[in-house]
Amino acid sequence: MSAAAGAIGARRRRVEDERLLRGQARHVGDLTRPRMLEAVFVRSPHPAARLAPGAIDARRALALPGVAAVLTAADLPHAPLLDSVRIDGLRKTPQPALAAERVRFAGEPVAIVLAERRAQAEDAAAAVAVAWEPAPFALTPEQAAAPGAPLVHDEIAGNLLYAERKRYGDPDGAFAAADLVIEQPLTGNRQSAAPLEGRGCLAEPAAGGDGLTVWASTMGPHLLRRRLAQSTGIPEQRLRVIAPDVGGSFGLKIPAAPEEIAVALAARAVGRPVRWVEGRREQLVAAPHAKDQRIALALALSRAGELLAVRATLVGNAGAYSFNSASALIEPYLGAGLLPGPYAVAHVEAEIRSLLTNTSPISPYRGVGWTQPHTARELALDRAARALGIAPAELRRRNLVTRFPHRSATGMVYDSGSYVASLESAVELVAGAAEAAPSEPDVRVGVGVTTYVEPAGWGSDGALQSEWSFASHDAVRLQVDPTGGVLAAVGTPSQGQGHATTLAQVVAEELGVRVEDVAIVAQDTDATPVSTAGTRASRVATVTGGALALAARRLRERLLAVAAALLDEPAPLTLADGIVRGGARELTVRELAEAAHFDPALRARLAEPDLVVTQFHDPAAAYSNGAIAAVVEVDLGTGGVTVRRLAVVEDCGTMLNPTIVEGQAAGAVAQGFGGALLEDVAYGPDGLPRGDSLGGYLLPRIADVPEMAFAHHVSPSPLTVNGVKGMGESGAIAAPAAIACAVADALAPERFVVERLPLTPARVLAGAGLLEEGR
Amino acid sequence: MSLPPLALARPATVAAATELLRRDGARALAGGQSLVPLLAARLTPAPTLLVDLGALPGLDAIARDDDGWLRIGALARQRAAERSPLVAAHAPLLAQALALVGHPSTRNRGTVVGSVAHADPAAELPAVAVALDGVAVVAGPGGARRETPVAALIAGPGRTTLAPGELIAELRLAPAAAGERQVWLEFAPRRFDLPLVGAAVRLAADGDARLTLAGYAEAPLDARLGPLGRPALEQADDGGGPARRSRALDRAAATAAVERLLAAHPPRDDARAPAALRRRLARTLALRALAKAAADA
Repeated sequence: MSAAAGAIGARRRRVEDERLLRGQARHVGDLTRPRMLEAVFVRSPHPAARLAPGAIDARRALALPGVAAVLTAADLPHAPLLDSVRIDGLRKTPQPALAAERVRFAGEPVAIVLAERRAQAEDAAAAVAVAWEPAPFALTPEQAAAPGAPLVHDEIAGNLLYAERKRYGDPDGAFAAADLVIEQPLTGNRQSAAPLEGRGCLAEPAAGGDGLTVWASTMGPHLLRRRLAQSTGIPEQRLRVIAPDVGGSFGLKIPAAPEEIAVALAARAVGRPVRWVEGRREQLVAAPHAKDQRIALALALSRAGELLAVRATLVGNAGAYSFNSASALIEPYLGAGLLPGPYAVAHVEAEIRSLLTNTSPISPYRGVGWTQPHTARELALDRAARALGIAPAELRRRNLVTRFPHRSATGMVYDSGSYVASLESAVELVAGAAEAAPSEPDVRVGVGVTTYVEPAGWGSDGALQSEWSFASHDAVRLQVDPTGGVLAAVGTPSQGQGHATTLAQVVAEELGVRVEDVAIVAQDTDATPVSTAGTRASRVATVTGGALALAARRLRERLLAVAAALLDEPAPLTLADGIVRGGARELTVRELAEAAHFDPALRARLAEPDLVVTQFHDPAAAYSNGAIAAVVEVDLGTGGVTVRRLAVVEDCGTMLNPTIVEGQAAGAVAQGFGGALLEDVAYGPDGLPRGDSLGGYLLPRIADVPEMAFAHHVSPSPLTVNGVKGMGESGAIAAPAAIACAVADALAPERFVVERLPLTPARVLAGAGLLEEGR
Repeated sequence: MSLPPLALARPATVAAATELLRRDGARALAGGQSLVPLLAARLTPAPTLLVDLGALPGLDAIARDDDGWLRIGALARQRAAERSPLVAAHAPLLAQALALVGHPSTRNRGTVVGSVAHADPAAELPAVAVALDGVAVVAGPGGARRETPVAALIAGPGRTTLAPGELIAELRLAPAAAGERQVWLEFAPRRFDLPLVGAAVRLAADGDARLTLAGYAEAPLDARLGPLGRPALEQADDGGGPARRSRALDRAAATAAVERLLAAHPPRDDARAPAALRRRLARTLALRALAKAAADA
């Protein structure tokens, strides 16, 4: 390792923040192009409806001021979006950019309205008359599976996208031999990633050609380019996708949005730039949702508290399409693979089903399919602990993996970790917090602690261990420019993760230059090598970061070769802080770069003083771990739950920047907090989401999110470059379990079994037997 | 969404404002913290004319009448009232509730009177205005002026008895009596939100109690609970400090009175909360507010 010691692992301030906090960020909504039109979609107000030919009448809309066009599917021929995931038995449903004969969920777009101004487009969209013929619909997997249920897609019998039973070991034998079986149902909530910035894009046709430039609020510019090429027929090399500043995504902006395709098609059709900026109601109703699993889980244990087997039926509510880029299976299928969690359990059985319903499709969201099965398993473990008379933390300790590498029953190879130590740290951090007397006599205190493992930094190997087909390698380009500055081009832009800081730290450390001399460019498909997957799945630190580290090592050798040629110095050369030293002589990287680019004398000695390196990388699988402990107050007078203390213990191996690790963990925990107590899209019987504004969809605000105490363990992965693991999901997997376990603990005298999330006041009071109904 | 197409007028006098408000489909705009988001979300019918009261002179006062009542002008911001020493001294209930209305940014723009006129059943200020025997001073066309109790002004969710052309120029609130305790408590699952239920308690020095509930019914539910405690006693501190008041709440009587009241009035039932939850919240908040009012200051 170079002598620019401390770049990796330093608590550096994020270089992004000054600009972001001063409001100088430039999002899609800040961009304009000459002659740009604003787009607004006409969306279905029904969960299911048919449209006869000519059902969309735009005459009144077209007469309104500023309106340039109203385009429907018939005006914009294209190839529909299709999931590219390859899993045997998964049935797929192509999804059009604009629906034609029928709509399958409330919010599905059927027309795009283009006008000079946004307000004009909104008014015109409201003036488009659509002769909807409402049709029967199914909102839940239960409804969708019922005999005679309306088919969401005629060709998918029983609305069943996927059904599979997976057995590992001998679960039947283990359950038969168990002293204790705990059955735990859990109906998980449907959540919205609800990023501060909704989706949106701006498409501009190339002057005089068939190309297109698309600025999009996306996590994966190359992924979107691929989808645009497939749908529009424009070859990829003529498509340029640029992700400007993106205000959060959390998985939502991995898939290509049908709206993005429609905007690109519309821009081409009218020959003008077209911009779409999603509104909040639009985002909550029409954008993909997340989570929403029905789980029936059972644990088999011995009297001594040994976890013998886990069995679960995981039913995903897929929404109206199998969905593109990341399949609806991202929920129950991935959840099944992580059923063992951090525990050394030998026998696992998972029955996985995914059903189409007339709801918005399911896309990835932080924690993906792992969150809700983890919550069910942890709730069941707490009930087992009570039944066995063993403290919940102790029951977990007895079953945690302690020897590495550990091959889990489902085939994941946990490379390293601090499972027991993390649990102990979390317990320590909340020690004493449960003792203080509550403010009111009818307020109870409860404690929940949970340990988790996070499949982090998926390369292709990690994807395989999750039995998921997923090309997850990256290429990066690293170059020293003539003035000695370092430019790193990567295909994984940041939506708030701070890549311009952390990736620069990696390069600085490995190359031997100052962090501030490294610039990261990540947002432009014309400027960056292909990233097959983009930013997602906690993969950037290991895949992109690993590629950059390897590239920097090679570039460093080239710089030293240039220095050796210039100095004609046989003594060993060192490179640190941008200065090469050899014997008594010094050369700056700037001088090296100047010479490499412009010094003919150097060329005489060194044939190719090339300071551009590209590097491919596809890392081995690595697994992060951690623990979360929550102490809550449950108010029996109101049903309100207040988190008194929240301990967050994270082990992601070598940390690139502990401040950013904590920021990531805090954000993930905040989202888990919302999932545990507040957030629910909640379709009503009319097939429309109740949570259609931030007044109805209770996203926690900063004042609601509890203070957190952090602790770190560092178990470097033996398999990755520098021992780095990913850590983006972390708290989003485990925080709901910690909080739900704590609430159940507070209501243990009433034998409260958490069966639904979120834990609303009505559900808490109903669970305590204090309310006749608990919806 | 963008605001719907609408006309905006910014009259300079109350007389001009009342004339404009006589027009069909005209609506008054004060701080705009409730109305504008609703309009932008297209959740309320677009007015043909929005009459911005912001330029009307002399309506931002927070003062006291000769008879001791608080006067809050139509344009007095919630934040100003929250920080007003007069409000703190004479209407502590309003001060407590204001601290929970929206958040500081919305309170900087939102007005006390506007919130009362908006008549959201869950909002704090209509209930507080009723609890404090609020009287709306209503200006009408042609210089007409009338006074009406807020309890009679609020006709239902989002509805008032104001006639076309009328606006509330001022709100008058009864000052706290000597030895009276006022407590506001509310509950919402998330901070800064409208409460599911809010409870205002006024406990007089003689033990007489009054309860006003927000969020429970279609309009503030206001009831006198009768005497619920012994009169206040003056007690000297051991250290010879200032005299402290103490009064004992008759918990059984309080519980019975609250339950009697709630039994007689079925709670609202909507997507935010089932009726049974509202009933329990009302009971809990009322009893806690009564206990707090009775406890030593």
